[in-house]
Amino acid sequence: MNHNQRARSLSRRLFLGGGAVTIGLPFLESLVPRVAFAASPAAATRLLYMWIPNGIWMDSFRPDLVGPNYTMPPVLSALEPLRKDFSVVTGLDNKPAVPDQAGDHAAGTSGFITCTHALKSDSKINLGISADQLAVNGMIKNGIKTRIPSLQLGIDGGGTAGGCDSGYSCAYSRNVSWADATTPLPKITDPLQAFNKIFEGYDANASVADIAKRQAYDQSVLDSVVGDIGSLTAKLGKTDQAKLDQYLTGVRALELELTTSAPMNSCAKGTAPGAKVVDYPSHVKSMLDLMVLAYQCDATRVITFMLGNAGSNQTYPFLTAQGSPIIRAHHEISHHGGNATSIAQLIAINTWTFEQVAYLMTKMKGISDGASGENMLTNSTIFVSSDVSDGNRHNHDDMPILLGGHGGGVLNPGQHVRYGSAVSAPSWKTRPVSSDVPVANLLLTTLKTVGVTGVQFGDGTAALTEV
Amino acid sequence: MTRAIKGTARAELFGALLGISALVGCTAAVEGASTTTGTPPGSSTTSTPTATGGAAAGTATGSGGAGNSAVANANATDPGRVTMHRLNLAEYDNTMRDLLGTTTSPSGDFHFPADDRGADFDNASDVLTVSPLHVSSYNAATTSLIAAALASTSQRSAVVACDLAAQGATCARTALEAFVPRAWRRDVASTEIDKLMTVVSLATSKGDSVEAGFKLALRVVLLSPNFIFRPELDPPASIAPHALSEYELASRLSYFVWSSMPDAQLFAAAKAGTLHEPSQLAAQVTRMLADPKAKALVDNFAGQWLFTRLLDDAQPDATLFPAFDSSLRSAFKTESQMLFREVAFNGLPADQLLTATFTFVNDRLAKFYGLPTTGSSDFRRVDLSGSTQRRGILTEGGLLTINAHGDRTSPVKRGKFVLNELLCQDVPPPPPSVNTMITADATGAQTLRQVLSVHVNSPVCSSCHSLMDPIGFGMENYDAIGTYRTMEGKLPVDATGTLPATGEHFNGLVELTQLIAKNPAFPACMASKVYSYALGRSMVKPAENPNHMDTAVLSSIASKFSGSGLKFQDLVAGVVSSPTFLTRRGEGG
Repeated sequence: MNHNQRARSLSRRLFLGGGAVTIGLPFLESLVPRVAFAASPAAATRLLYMWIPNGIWMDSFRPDLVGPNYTMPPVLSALEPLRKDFSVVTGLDNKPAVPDQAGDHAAGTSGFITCTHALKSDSKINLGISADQLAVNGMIKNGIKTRIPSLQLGIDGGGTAGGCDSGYSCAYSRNVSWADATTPLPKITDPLQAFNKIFEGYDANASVADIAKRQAYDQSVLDSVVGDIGSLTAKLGKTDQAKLDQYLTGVRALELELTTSAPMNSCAKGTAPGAKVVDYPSHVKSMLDLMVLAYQCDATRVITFMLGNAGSNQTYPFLTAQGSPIIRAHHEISHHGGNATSIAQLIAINTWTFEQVAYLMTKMKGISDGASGENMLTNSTIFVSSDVSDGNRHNHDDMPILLGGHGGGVLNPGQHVRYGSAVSAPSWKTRPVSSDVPVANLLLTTLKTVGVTGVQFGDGTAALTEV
Repeated sequence: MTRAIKGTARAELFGALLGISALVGCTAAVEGASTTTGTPPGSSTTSTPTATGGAAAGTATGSGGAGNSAVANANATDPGRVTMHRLNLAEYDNTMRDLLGTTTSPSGDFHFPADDRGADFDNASDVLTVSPLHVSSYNAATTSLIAAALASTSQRSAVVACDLAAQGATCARTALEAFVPRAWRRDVASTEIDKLMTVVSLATSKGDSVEAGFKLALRVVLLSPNFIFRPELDPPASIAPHALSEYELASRLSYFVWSSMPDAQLFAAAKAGTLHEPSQLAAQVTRMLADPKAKALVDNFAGQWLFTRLLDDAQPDATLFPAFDSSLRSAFKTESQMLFREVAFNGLPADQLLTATFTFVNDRLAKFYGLPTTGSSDFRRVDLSGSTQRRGILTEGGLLTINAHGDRTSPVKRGKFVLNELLCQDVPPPPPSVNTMITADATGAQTLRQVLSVHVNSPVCSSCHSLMDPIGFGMENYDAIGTYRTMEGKLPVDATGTLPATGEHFNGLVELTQLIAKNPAFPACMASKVYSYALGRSMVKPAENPNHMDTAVLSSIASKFSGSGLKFQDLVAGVVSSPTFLTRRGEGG
């Protein structure tokens, strides 16, 4: 579909609220809590792909038994009350994420949900479309449109100097969502910006006439910009045309945000997060709350969330291991080399991370959605994994995966599903037994939960049906 | 070769050891290497000693490519092409400053996505991608900046000189005719103004003021790809090298030196068609470097080359280093910027970056360095000719802090910085499976240098660490925030060593910096960093394209730089007068 077709296919319904909320308004005014959007309850399956840096200490993640009766592994202990709402999946391989020589974090992060092999270069990028964007494209094809097609959230923007990972462009270390081979989709890391994005276009004070006029103005401005893009494109070579096409895609997305609105489920705008990020745990919690809000308001149905960037050097002074606060950097700790202190610290960090997943899932479970008995969690699919399996070995097989939610009834949560070797708890040093079952197949399953099937993706062959 | 290694890497990875193939770039051939973690030995592959003797011979390898050992093709004819450049964060902010008089940082205030870096710098056009988040951030920023500019008496006159309320559409048109060529950095056709006027009249047709319509038109101008990007056009279906247009050249110059749009004089020279003339070009470079806006080279070129920007994020352990506070952080940054500026903009030889017998301190920093204080918080130039502790950037507290861990020094990081940034010699990261967690001896029975001798005893480590560690050991007289010390705990610091590539001996950092400064790889490396930054792309190696002019051009620039007393201005002038800066080619069909 070319951009003109896409533009014509966009519906231009009136807002319940207004156009661009910040236009002509004092900045702070947009933060005043307001009443709910009009209710339009309808069950909708949502997708979340959540990325964790530096791998997982697998000995404390991989359950002892296959099936429903496993003992909850230590780092997942906070998830015990939600046992029937997720599955642990082990033994899947993400072979395309194996880098050319060094660079496992960059290649593993960029390959996270693209299952595509990154071009190793610090000055050129070439990867492939990610699962979340395939979902968006498929959902649009199926007539499911939200005002924000997908939301990319994260914690770290990125450093301002120095290399990122072993000769791989920083784009690979910072982005898991990719619209196509050369278009990474950067993430919002500021909670207030995310809040404003979710509620952009909502202005309870605007009259219908005001809204119509503002939309006409926005439309006219963007039409002119699109006209400029067209004139310039005609004069450019193919590489520059591709870059300008990225820009056009962005302008079209803005047009969708400013001039259309999807039906809103019942949701309260609530209070805007503080303008200043206080500390890491509060930052993470803010972002998790905003995800639930975005789903609840049906501003979007597809989110990716990065708990850092590749090779994250986050410190965890608020956690203790062996009686001491964890002041060393995560990446450094993850190269544990079998050291007991490092492993204890990794377990503490991993445990805290899955506590956040538990917080999110609990919150989603508490929000009823659609038919009676359903809730946001039953109608969601949450894929949680990392760039590597063991942070020390940097292996891309036996990936640590938690698959949360019921996927609108498509998934079979409440079990440990293991692929390949039956070895349930090998030592981290043990040579892994490759299952040859790609992570991409599980990602095809996640696409199935939002009704997207029959797509080509990474090294995927067919959706997994056991999970 | 690459293909074979890739296959090996895959096989090795699933065999739990990636050690061997990751060693390409360092010296040692490793047979049956075993790691400190006790994983099984890898296959007996021999690594390629690409970096061996690099520093000795004055050559270097890697992305910087200075003095690439491949023979430059003097007959190369391909000037290459730079992918259409998107304004990066700093450039967007500076351009708005010079266009609208904006004094804020829109990229920060509106949370533009972080720029990716390629070839060391965040102005590498190939990785300056755009996304929906960029566009929505631009939209939010644009709307706000336009409103602020028109509401401010001082800013407004730069955008609209006539009376919109009284003169209506006539004034709007006049204002756009003056503003749009500046915003789009080129001549603008009257049909382009016509289109913008239709946006103005949409507002008036709906009962709003001309002012409201004019704001909408400005929004179009600043969201237009003509503003956000720097297009450079090629003749259709041709791959023949051709000169940039005058306006394209003006933008290349201004974004290189100022990280911003051309000023009135550059526009005037472009309009007159004289900018390509060598004398005009040289005069412009001299003028531009003398302009305060050239501080952009300090912030954006040196800030990334010398890692100064990383000071903002440095987090030394507050318990171990109570002296490190926000005023010291800020003083470190200022010192680094002032020293670079003094050497680069005052015609000093560039090796004085490493050997300067002066620096700039305020009282806070003077106290930290053990220099006399004057009771002033202002920065002043101080003489270091009698100092045995401080000389040049490598002894700056800031640089030493950035290249350390939070709780201890890192001879590895410091050595790697010298190799990568000053000598353009790549060092690959440690292979996975190696236990890189080396903690200082808590009992104090061993110095860090002694602890790190584990690197020498392991073949898989020593291949690269034998290059980095000796340099870093020479810097051990400075703790993790750069405080001078002769003792590490109760043990004396040993800062003696021998440069592995040349066999030259040194005792301490001041001697070491002299050796680095006289290494011909240093000016060649600096030239290659400036070259990449100026063009906004990485150097094309002969192996990628034997007909590409980069290697020969850079070699010529570097030798002129070395031959002319290492003056930064000459380096800049050499880059902007090179055929790869002045010309480009199309992609053909």
